[in-house]
Amino acid sequence: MVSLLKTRPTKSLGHHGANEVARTSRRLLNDNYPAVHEVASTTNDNVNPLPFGGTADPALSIFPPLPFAPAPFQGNIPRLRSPSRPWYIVPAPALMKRKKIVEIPLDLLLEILTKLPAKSLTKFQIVSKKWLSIIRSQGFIDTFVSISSTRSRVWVAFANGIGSVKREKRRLFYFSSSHEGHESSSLVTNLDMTIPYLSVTRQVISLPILPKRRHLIMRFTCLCYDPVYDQFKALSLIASLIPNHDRVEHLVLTLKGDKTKYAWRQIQGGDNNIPPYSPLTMRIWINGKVYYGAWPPKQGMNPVIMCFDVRSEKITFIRAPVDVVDVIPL
Amino acid sequence: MSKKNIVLKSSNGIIFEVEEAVALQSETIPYMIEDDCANDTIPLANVTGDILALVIEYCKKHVVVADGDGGGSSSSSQEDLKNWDAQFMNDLDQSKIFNLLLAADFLNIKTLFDLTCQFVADTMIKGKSVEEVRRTLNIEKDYTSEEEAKARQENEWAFK
Repeated sequence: MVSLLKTRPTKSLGHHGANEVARTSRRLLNDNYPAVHEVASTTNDNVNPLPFGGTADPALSIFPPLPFAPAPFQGNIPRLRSPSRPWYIVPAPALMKRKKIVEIPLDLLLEILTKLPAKSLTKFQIVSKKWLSIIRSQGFIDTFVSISSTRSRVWVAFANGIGSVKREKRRLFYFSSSHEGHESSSLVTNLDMTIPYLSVTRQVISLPILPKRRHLIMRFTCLCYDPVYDQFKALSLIASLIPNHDRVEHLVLTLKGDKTKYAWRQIQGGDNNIPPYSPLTMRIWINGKVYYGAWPPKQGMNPVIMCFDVRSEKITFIRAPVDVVDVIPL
Repeated sequence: MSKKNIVLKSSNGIIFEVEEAVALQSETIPYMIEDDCANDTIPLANVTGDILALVIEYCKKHVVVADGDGGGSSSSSQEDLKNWDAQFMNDLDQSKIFNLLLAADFLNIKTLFDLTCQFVADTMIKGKSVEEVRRTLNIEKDYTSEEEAKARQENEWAFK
């Protein structure tokens, strides 16, 4: 396979020799000339692409430099041509080598980026917009997570002081860390949770303030993940602390799209006839559902385990034996 | 199994004759043989001679170790091979590394491809500043200064 190394005739070149060659080129190219744009500019380490003893260095060209750089053909400067031939025939692969640095094709760049730790990825989002779009793309994140999940990982979530810390300073932290050593970890987590999106991007997301209530309430917020639609939601429970006022409000927020437009949505218990209850335990996320223990209002009734389906946003419950639902500090 | 030699021809016409086992670490070459796009020599239009020489050096090293240890499972030989790989990559300049990466991708030599990807990630990207990465990989900055400052602030933890 050969490629043609061409030069572009320029009207303003004002050089007889160049025009002469340009005319020859045009004839030889059979009027297709104007459509041919690419100009190969290359040398190869091993092959001299200029078999006629010429030089590829424009500075050494016998032609005077162009008075201006033709806009769409930047860097395209007439080259020395052999008197006998209007263009050079150069092996195609050699054409790709001139650029000082080979540009890495996108698919290879993706491969390289998956080899980086998450922290580097976060940092290098600002290399260019292309890198940002790669690193933030769901496809890349999925690949990254599937690669890193072959290493064992530990996921930990905790909140900083509940109640004692001002709302603006409250944070829910999710950590993941790859665990490369062979010693077994003694850490047992009740959080059977993978958070691919957040774990890679580590964004700080401020949730909108929950609606105020006149009466004394307790609020509980947790983050949950829907693996089917691959999205995060926040679930907030607002429970009244006033006796005999046991309505629990369920608010849901989907973490998707424009952060400034996040808004809480009230959801209803649906047809399941959810009795009033008081949330009691920590919330545990397992496979797309959030579970937590709760007490029904009437004494003597068995506790219940509430289940919030992250995808359908339906709340269901089962009655549980008394011993099952331990009171765990919220 | 009789030892059969395979002749590879680089884009600039340099001929390499290698044992079949060496060449077959590439998953592309068997297809080329099968498709009969080669009579005696296999033309590799995307790989220049100097890069092909490196690829063959790598493949030879790896095939020898695999033979010598019945699958190369012994940990000391694995260790040796790792050191050899590291040395092999360290001796290359950037343009060679990039071309080697392209060649490993084209020839589909998984271990060499992973090795070069990891090497590029570790030595040219990881631990470097954003500016250095742009310079090394010849990437044009297309963020405005304000956008960049904002993005830096948002991800401040990653820059420490």
